[in-house]
Amino acid sequence: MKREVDEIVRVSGLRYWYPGSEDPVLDGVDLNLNRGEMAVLIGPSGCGKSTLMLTLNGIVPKTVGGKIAGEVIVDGTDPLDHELAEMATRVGLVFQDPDSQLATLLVRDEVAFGLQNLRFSREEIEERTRWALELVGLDDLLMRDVFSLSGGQKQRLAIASVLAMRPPIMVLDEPTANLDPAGADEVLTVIGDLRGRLDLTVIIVEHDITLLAAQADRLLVMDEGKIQFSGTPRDVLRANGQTIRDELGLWIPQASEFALELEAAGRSIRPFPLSGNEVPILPVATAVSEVGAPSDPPPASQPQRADPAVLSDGVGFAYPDGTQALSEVSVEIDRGETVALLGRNGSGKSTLSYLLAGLRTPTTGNLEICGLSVTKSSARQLARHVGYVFQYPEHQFVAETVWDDLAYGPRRAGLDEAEVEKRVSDILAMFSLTGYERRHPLALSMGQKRRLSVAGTLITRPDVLILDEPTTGQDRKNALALLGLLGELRASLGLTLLIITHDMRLVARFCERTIVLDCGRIVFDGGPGALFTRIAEPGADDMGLRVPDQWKLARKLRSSGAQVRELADPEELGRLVAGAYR
Amino acid sequence: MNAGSSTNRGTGGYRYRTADILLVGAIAAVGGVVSAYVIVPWAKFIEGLLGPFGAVFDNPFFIFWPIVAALLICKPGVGVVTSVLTGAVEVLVGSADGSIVLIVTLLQGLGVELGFLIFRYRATLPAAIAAGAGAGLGASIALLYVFGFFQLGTAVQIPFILALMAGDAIIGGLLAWAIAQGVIRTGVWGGGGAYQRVDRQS
Amino acid sequence: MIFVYRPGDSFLHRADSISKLVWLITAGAFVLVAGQWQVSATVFVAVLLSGIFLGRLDASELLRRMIPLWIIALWLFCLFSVLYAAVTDPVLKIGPLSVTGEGISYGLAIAFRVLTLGSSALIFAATTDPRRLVNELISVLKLPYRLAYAFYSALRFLPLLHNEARTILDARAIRGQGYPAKGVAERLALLRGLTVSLLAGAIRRVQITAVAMDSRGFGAYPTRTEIEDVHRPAGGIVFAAVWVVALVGYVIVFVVFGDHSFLRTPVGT
Repeated sequence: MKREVDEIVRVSGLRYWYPGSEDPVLDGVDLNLNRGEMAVLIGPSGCGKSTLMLTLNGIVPKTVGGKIAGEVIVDGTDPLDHELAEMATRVGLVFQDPDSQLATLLVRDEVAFGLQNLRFSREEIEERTRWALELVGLDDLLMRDVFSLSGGQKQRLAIASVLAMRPPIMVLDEPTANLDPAGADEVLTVIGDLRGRLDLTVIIVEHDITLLAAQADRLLVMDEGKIQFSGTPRDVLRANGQTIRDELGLWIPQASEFALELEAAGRSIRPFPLSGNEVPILPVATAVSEVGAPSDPPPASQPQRADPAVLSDGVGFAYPDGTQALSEVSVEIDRGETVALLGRNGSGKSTLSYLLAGLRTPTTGNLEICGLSVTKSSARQLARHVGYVFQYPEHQFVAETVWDDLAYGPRRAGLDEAEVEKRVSDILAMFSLTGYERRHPLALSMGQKRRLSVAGTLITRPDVLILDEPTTGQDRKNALALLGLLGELRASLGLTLLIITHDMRLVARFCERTIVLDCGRIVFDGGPGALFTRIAEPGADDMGLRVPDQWKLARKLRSSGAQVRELADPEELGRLVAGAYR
Repeated sequence: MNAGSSTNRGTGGYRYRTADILLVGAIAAVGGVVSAYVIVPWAKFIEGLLGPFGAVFDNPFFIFWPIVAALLICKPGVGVVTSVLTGAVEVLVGSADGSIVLIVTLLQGLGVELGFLIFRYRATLPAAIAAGAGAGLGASIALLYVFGFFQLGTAVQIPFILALMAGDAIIGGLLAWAIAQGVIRTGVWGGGGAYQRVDRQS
Repeated sequence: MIFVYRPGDSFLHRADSISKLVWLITAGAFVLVAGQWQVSATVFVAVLLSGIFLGRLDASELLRRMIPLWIIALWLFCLFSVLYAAVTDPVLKIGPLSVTGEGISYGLAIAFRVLTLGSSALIFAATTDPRRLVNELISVLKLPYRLAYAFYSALRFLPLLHNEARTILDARAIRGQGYPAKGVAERLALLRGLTVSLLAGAIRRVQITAVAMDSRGFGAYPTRTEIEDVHRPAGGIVFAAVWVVALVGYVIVFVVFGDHSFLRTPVGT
């Protein structure tokens, strides 16, 4: 019997309810994919993207339970009629967390894992292991310890381990979310390679399609348990970009944002651009100068206080085993500044932030925070001035209920119960957490946990707030909302902010100063505009960073004479340019 | 991926799911590490003062791990396997107690199983306490034999056994219950069981 | 790494873990049934020598790691010297306490027992690669691989846990729940909070790992293809066999000569 040659995935009317749940998380999903296509699936948190992916090999509902209705056909088979083991040779799944998805201790064992389970012969296993590792570029690391690999390498290993079973379909669920830009590039390059060398059908779930938009054949947008939009990325973004960005709150390529603004003014760019390179130089020089602001606004002037927020002089830090994590770090950060701490993973950013929070003591040099010397002050004293928001909110909850967690800081500071109650109520409202007072912090949604962790740190009104990757992995709506809150509080509390991040859009929007670390040393200290200019120079070392498209767009416009802000965001650019045509 | 709870956690009958196996290992790892680095130093101090009799005070903190595991995964064998694995982890990370730990964890694990068996492997507070008492019984017998206390006469043995059983039942059982409840309230664990197709009659 | 195992090339390192496990159990059984302190002492010395010469372990580090054992052994020795229900006259009186010859013998027997139990496991752990142990449990003892994976899962978790625990403690410290935790109640609360956090984190990870494993056919069949050769040098097997024979011989001596000392009061000479 001849099965349909081209269609390799078909989902019709799929509905699914988690056990004990009244509302279906998948509510009528229809989806078709042809062999060899690459599809990117985006959608707000909780829309069911990951659940949908797990129905493709049957994990949902077989290991999870619940109720299911509708049809799923993958490579001609219904996952419910076949064993999980068999589906492994048809669909390979790669997940977000590099550490958690690996099952073994050695690279070789990881790649061989599935093959061993399926009882392939030893010779076949050895051959396929070599093949898979070569495809992902890890062939010289056969007997390495899995924990010694970088994030990018671990994800490539996960891909290899899935490839070894030669499935025609590969599904990746947010594969780059936990990686730095270098790691993310590694993974995306490998995926591109694989598509070229094998006849692989790929589905990638992402929260930010910016990097994939150009490569993808299809863009699927999911919301409320259904696929709302489906088509080529250009078509979908042109027709629905505004909705996707504003109502669903998702990230879209900045070049597309720019083009959408122009469309609204009746000026189309064809083909609809997905990246800054696809935006032609527009002849708008003469018109824009009347409306554009000429330069970056000067940094907000702060009343000069006696103590800078951070004063470090020749600070170094070495681990007990002798590894030098930081050397010769000398920097002064004034009160009220917003500074981005950038650099590759392992460059020393986290170590520096720990020193600044008083969690570790420098092994050399002097460090003062708000006038207090870290070596002479107790951790308790320093904690009064510095708050630290960790990358994974789960780590810093200290109580069983949201209320108690927020009240912890003020109570510990000795405030009376009435004041505590007032502060907690206020901050609950500010961070949209009213109504969740009695919940366990770990039972909240990702976004709520993030907000709670920030709220819990701010409630004690520190002078300095350090945030580790506050927007990484978040939808646009949540990320911007958080930045908005921080912006308000920055002004009202006079906060000094230090943000460790890889997100260059955040840096451009929000930070007036950037400090870049590489191999434990400061290699750049200046404004974002100056940083981008430097990285963008041909042949320059990018220090592990990417230049955001909005800056490239602004530069293009400026090079044709337009007077636009160097750090203008794409909507602003779009409006300014569109204004030229009215 | 989590679900509402029932006293049997709805985890799909008595067959071990992959997640169950891994969780046993993870709890053993957590238990072994916390025991070796946090509890043992304190235990050594107590035992330095009271000798092995100090076990009455520190043993509860070693035995609650298998009870927590059994409260979360209500299946036969979880108690003894978690307990022995915890001991194995302690040995591999270099705990000086060595084989003593292995003997004790085996017997106390069997005691935990006994406790849960009596209550039909339901995750309830009485079951946790019974498991604690069982663990105390197993541990005390093991310790009595290993440390040669059988020679000290019943005047020492009986109170030792009872004290350990009581300590393990009350502190160990309650602590395990509290921790298991804490974990359940976070909603991260659960799920499993058979699924239903609701659009087809078969 | 967090394990006490250090890679090496000694006789014990090369021996397979199952033989070493047999040795561990045999040495332990030996001192658990032995009545005379001289026997326990001999076993202890044999174990130590095996570790130092056959395992090429650093003697001073081994002895240092045994410090808690020395303390307990000493304590037990003193305890029994004094409290043992002896029938002979005391050899020494210290205030109200009488030290008897039988007590001393028993105390020594128990002391060496404890020392042997502890040191043999330390030596085992120091010379055995945990990964190899799991593999050999599966291939040699035919332990079902799904079950052995619980052990493997523990091994995989340990390094992750270490980092996670560190981060959690740091995160709490910066919020004020610092190390100078005062009082029993606060310590217990910290312990409970830390444990719940670690466990919740472990559960989250474990569920992801389980899905990733099930998606690759874990548990499809009762056995899986082995891809690593198991080396069982004859030396290791002989080593274990020698110990087993010694133990069996000792037990037979009991039976033949009717010396049921391990059931009743052990008496020194």
